[in-house]
Amino acid sequence: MTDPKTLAVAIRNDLSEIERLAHIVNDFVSCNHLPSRVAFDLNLALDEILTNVISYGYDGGEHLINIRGHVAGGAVTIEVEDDGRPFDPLAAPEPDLTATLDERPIGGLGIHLVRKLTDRQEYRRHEGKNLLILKKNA
Amino acid sequence: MEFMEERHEAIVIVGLRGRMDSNTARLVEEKLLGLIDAGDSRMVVDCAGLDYISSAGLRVLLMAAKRMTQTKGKLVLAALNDDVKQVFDLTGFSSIFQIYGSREDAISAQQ
Repeated sequence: MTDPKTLAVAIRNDLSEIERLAHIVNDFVSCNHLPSRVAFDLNLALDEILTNVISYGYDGGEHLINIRGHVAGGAVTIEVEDDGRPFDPLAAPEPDLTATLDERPIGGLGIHLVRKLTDRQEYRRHEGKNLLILKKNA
Repeated sequence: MEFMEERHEAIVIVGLRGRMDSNTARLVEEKLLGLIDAGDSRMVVDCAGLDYISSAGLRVLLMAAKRMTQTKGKLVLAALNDDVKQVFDLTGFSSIFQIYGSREDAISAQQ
């Protein structure tokens, strides 16, 4: 990486790419001397967002999803840009975390985790693409 | 994602190793539900080697636990690392699963 303060990577719409991205994010975080917990939390948030995009965002075909990151003032900001169908993940309702085992619905926890693991989330539809911005304070 | 399967009397112990995410959760689903459907009713899922879990992994554990209660069995978890435990805490899963610090404690709880 020529400039360790920024990250720019494109991944294919294939679930196996999420693990490849995780290694890149780990390197980016450690390059910037931030705690490994920051990398874990960002990777889990990215995993949840990308799993949604890759599983439900496309009708098929190969697509690239752009991931950009930068570090400023001790915080990491990550942008995810995809050309899938318009979808605001932040519109998902909050799950009931007090439900018992029998009452708990299967699913619905991904976006909850994104909200918990990052400090700020923003969604925009921009030039025909979905843009999600996540900010994580170190 | 790798599995280690062991038996201790009537208890089946499934060790998980690696990452449990949207790409690998289906393998775990097949493994755990396969054992339950084949008649195992006392299960310990040993998470000592589990480095990472996403909501796709939580979904599978919840499905397996629900299937187990339908058949009057019990599934307990053991040895979650701090990162995985954090994910359980953030989703309320810490209070719907029986979680033990060690595999030995989990086996004792199933006896």
